Amino acid sequence: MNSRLKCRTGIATVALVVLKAFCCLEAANPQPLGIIIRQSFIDKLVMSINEQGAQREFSFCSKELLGNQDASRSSESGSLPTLIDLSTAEVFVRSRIEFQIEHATWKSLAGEEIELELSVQHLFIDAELLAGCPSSSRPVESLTHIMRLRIEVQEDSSFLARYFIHPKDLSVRMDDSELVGESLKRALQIKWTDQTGDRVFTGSSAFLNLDQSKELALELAQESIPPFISSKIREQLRGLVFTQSLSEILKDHPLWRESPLGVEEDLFSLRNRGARRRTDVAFSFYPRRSQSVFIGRDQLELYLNAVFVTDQELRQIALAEGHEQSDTRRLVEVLESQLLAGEGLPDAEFFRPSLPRREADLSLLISGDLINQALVATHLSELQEFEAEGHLGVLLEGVVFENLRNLRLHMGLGSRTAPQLRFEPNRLELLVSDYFLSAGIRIKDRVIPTAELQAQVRVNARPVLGWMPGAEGAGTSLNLAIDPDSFEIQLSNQGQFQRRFTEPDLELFEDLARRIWTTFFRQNPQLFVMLSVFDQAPVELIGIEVKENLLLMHFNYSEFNRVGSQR
Amino acid sequence: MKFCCQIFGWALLLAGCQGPSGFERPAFELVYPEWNIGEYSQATSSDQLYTVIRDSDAPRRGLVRVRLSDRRIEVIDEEATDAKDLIWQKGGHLVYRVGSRLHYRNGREHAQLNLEMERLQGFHWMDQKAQVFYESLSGQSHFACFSPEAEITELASLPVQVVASYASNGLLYLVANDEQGVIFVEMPFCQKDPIRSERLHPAVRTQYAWIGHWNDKLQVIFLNEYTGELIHVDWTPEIRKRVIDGRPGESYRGMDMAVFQDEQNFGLVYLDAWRLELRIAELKNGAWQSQRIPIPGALGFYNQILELKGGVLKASTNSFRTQLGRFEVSNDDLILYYWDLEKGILIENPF
Repeated sequence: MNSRLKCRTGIATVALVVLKAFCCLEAANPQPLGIIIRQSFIDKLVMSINEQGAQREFSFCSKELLGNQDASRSSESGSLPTLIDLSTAEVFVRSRIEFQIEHATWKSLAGEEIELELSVQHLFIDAELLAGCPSSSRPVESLTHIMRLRIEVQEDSSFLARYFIHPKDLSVRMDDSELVGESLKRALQIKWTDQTGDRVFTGSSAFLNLDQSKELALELAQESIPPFISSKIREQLRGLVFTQSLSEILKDHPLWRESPLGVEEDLFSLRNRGARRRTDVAFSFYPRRSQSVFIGRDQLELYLNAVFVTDQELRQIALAEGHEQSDTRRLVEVLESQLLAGEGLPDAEFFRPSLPRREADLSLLISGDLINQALVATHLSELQEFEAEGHLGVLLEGVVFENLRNLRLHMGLGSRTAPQLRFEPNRLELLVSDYFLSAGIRIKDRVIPTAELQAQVRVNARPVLGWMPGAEGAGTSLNLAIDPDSFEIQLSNQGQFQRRFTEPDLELFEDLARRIWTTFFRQNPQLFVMLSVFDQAPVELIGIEVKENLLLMHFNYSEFNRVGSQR
Repeated sequence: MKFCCQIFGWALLLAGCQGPSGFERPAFELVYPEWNIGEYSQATSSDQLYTVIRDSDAPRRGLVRVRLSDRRIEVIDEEATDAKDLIWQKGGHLVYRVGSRLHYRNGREHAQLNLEMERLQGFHWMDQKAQVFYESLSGQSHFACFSPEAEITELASLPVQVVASYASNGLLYLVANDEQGVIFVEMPFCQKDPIRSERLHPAVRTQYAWIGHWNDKLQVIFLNEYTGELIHVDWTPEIRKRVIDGRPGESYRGMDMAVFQDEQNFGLVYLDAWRLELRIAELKNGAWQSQRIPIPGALGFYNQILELKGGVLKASTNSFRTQLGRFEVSNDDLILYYWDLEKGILIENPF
């Protein structure tokens, strides 16, 4: 019979594949996440608010304001009903408010709220009073101008305003006590002008006397400034309630893209088939119900819960609330609405750590357990999909027969055990240990496991800030920068399969794995860990401390560093 | 350079450099040995099977139907040189995967469905409707039901990974993996909710299994991936598990199983994956007996039973390497052989 050899490149390969799962996501187990805010941050935030133009447009109809008035307060002050009474027709007030904050500091905790005291140097309210209220048939432009009211802080004067910030939703309310009201009234001067702007009334007008005008100013300040401050804080801190699926967060991350990730070298090639995510995971942080705020001598400690939740757990949580959902995006929305209502997930077990004094504006405190949860959630799927081909013909040059020169050693480098971060004194080490690889032959369309290897991998890692571009919910992320030169791997025979690799076999695998991963980490030096609680905030990482099982990352609010340097 | 025992050993096994010293060729036939042929074979009768020819220089290639008696090859889909996971069902229904797309054929009918499949795991035809089980690119198990015009009527994800399936009396019987191990599931055709399920083996997984009736009883055979043992499960009426072949951790036997049965005989041929040898096991007097089918080379892939008649098994297998003589080898062959069940030997074509 006429036969011929039909060995082809890549037909037969030897593979390392993962056989067993030794690690899996545990049930949702929240961990504490701390934000440490120092006075310098408040100073810079004030500077930011002032420079970005602390002004708001604010308009209302007298009947709406009357409708929204708290009955007791209305009767107590008696001023605004007077305004309504005076104008037999309805009055529309269109105003612009500007303010400059001189100084802000937290004072203490008032119940569960943080008391923030602001010294306001500049407050300017320009309010135009129009006759009638606008409607669809009656646009604002058609309303008749009655009077213009200008209220501002007198020269060389300022007033103190006290605000209370609720740590659960960052809502801000103004202290409307008599004391604050009087302080404000003393500092203000009132000017009324008529339609032409020629006539100036100081003190009182035909409509409102001085006290009533100041009462109106106070009302306007209470209605407009707290939401403004609240929104500014929310912008920087993601609102403190945040839930998003990792597949959404990471959809543009190189390791999660569907397209293969390739490294091609003389001795080997590495590719990622694209993550095959069996389980989607949502990252969530939310306020603590108790022990959420501590005020120290020079710092404010705000503690949140953070957790990674699998889609099965999301489904259970939704089901408990009577929602039958299967779409992860919808489940995430259900969880977020529950967390906003203070339900859904419990508080993390928590012991307030003793924190060192630092000069940084902000510090982020992350527990080691949370980082390791993140690594499991984020990198488990993708790690299963790494495949490498060692060019066996080259590796065994001169040993293997001619027809096998092109034979390739196929290694599934995937691991079902995610890397874990080990907290060494003052340094972090990414450790992949105590997991088993199964070595085998890849032939035709299957892998035949033949021997198991235990792998110990160590590589030094350094937390850095990264950026997740493009993805929904993108923003600053906490990444681990890997030092490829520190990569160490040690393989040993293990497991129930009786076949054993010889020492030279293991050395060959180790050498190949070292080359592959070193190359990979040079090309992809950062592992995503989690989204930062700081969203669009211009923060600059200035230091990292590893303290027992805690990671402390110190930041300066970089946009106004000159404030910090002046102090 | 140091001697790398395992790696070098595999290379030698695949290359056939350890050829037998006193070579005597047993009875077997090669079908078109000059081509790479025989992967994903699906027998449709005692004389016919579907398979794939991938060679770029072959005069006929793609998805083909081979008539074994006269070696006639009919090209079914010339473009499907990368066709995988062929499954044929009575009535002339054939499905296969090209990339992530499902192809359905019956005579001149040809339909395609973009199901984004990674692997096709089962196919059944009932009441003018098809049901396929498949693993998607995301790794999730699904089923889809569709009409001959490729109109999808049902599509659902499954909480288990289906490995083998069998249809009888409007019901489907499945062998599947879940998070706890290997499971048996009974479910109606084209419906998502199971009627019943039963744990076959905890804490193991399988990718190679068979399920069907023999002796009016449901039977399951699967390869325990964690120990390399081939396991037989039946109900007496409690679940009874028996090892067909293999010793834990010492062998890996049971991939590519093809089951044969008649009133007297029940058995299977399969791959000894560590030795790359073809093996056969038979249930005799209530006990499993197994032995190697002595075709030399590295072979035993994509096994198919063509016929069982008069105690003789006609079957096919695919090789990585076929040892034809002491210094003569061929690769990627479709091998046809006849096995005398009584004597336990390869014989020349008796039919």
